[in-house]
Amino acid sequence: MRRIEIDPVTRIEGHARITLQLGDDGRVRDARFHVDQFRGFEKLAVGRPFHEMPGLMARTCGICPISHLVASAKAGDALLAVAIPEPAIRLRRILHLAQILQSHALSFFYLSAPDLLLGMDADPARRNLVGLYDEEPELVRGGIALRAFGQEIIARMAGKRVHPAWVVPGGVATPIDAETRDFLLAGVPGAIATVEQALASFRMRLVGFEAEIQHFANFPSLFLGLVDTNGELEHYEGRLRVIDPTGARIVEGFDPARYQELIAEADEPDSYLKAPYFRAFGFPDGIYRVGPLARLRLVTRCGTPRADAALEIFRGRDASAGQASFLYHEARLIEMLFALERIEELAGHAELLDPDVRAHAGPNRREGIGVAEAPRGTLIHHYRIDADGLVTAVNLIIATGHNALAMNRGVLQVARHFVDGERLQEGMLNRVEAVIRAFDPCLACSTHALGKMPLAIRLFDAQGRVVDELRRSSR
Amino acid sequence: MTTLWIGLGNSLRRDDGVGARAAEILAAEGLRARAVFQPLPELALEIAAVQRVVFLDADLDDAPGVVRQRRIAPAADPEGGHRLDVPGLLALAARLARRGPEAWIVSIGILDVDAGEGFSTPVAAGFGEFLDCARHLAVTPSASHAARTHHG
Repeated sequence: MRRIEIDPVTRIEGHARITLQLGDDGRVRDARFHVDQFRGFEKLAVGRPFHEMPGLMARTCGICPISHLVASAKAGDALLAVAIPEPAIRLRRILHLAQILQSHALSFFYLSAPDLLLGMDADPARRNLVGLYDEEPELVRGGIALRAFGQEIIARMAGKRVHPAWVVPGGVATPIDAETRDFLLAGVPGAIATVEQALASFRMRLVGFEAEIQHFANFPSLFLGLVDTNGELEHYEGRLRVIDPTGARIVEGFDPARYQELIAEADEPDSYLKAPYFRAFGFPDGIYRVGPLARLRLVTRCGTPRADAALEIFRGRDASAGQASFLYHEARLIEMLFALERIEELAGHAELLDPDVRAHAGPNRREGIGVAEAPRGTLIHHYRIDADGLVTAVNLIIATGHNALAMNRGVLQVARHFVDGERLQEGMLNRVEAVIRAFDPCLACSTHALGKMPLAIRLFDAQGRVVDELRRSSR
Repeated sequence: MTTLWIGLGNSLRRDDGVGARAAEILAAEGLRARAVFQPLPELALEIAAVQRVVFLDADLDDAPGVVRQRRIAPAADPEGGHRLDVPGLLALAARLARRGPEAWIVSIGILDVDAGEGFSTPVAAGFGEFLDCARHLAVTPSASHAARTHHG
């Protein structure tokens, strides 16, 4: 049996590799997505004062620190057991949407657009942002400006682009000024024009990606995420909804603080990525997907006009595309539209500059859970503290982890369809990487373990046969 | 001539943060300077808007405390996919601006990149020279510049 290793998987956030096992006929027998890096914030945080957690947890990731900041602060809110001032909630929402914007812009324009707009089989030396600029200069210029806009909103509101600690248990640290509000409002129209241009360009090219739509992690699964009380798109709070492959709601209005009743955690022996599953269906049948595609499949509508118009077109295609993960890209663009429309709406609120943005209190509970929809899906922070407010236990379920089982199945599906071990071509392997890019995994965020880490050691002989194997599982 | 300083590095990895720290000081002096962890595509927009860009960076391969300045050119064939280096960033900026700015890098050899704050002794000793060299590039006409080495 031969083995192909793609190491590293490129144009993703974090470090991972893929192994493909080939049969004697050159066809793919098995494929695995391995995440080799390990972070372990769940252990690092034990013993820290709970009010330090948002700033500490923001350090988990350089791409989506705001989601960690928000989820962590919400867990802190639960420990304080106080009501957060409405102006602070508005500011948190804007900050979080700015991060959705910059993260989705990074995923679409920087990491995936070279494949989507130049083609999966384009010259790898040109299949990058600079090569894309030579073909689509205005789109690239707009995409870069879009990410810069999202990051600048974060910098102006929270003090810096990466790892700010402005969101705190009880609210936010400081109000914002009129200059910052005006900056937000002035930037929205140009940013919307860029996203709509990208959406049109992407849709125009979709006809060339029929095979990818059909085979990129296109299989029945559950979808999970937060929706608001009207069933609309929601990234900051809300209730959990789960739908089955037919779209039927199997969980509705579920309190996210009870997430452990819905979700159980498994581990894979060859990856540090957690593998959560839907508890009622067991492992691995309880496979589900989260993130932009899941959110758009879950909601009744987005709740803003441009995003809803785009959603209508999306749904027409989604219905005929089965359960295609390739459409994560389009879902990301629609969510960018939504984020911009919602930022404009929130920034125009009469009480945006209200100075009362923080409720002060000491800990009033020993356990707190904060949940938000991060760019890549549902993010859960769960803390326990002692009488002195020191953290005694942490559990994190990160968006990318929810998708672990789906990514693995997707890699196998793509590899089986596109890879021919007898006549290997670069474009085949790029597609194996590209199915991972569709999920936009953020591996730095998601490689944490609670308890003993899983481990597998395999001993191969000269012919590549496994002659011995040691396994340690945390289950 | 409009000049932008970009300091690269992680201030929580001791000497690695020397470029970012220098940029913070220059920004506090009122200069157009930005401290970042690493080259990012969105910096190309700012680079494209100036006539000169000066990168401030640590160099693990040089002797600790030794300061060097040199011109750098955009990458002829930038990789620009999984990671972006300074020449690749300049290549992107050159496309955005049609003609990229004059670009320099001021580096200092480093010793210690362990987790923590503060610089090793040789880097702390050379830091003043590193800053002076960076400041000097704001006022000196490019024609008089050559690669220079300072032993801090």
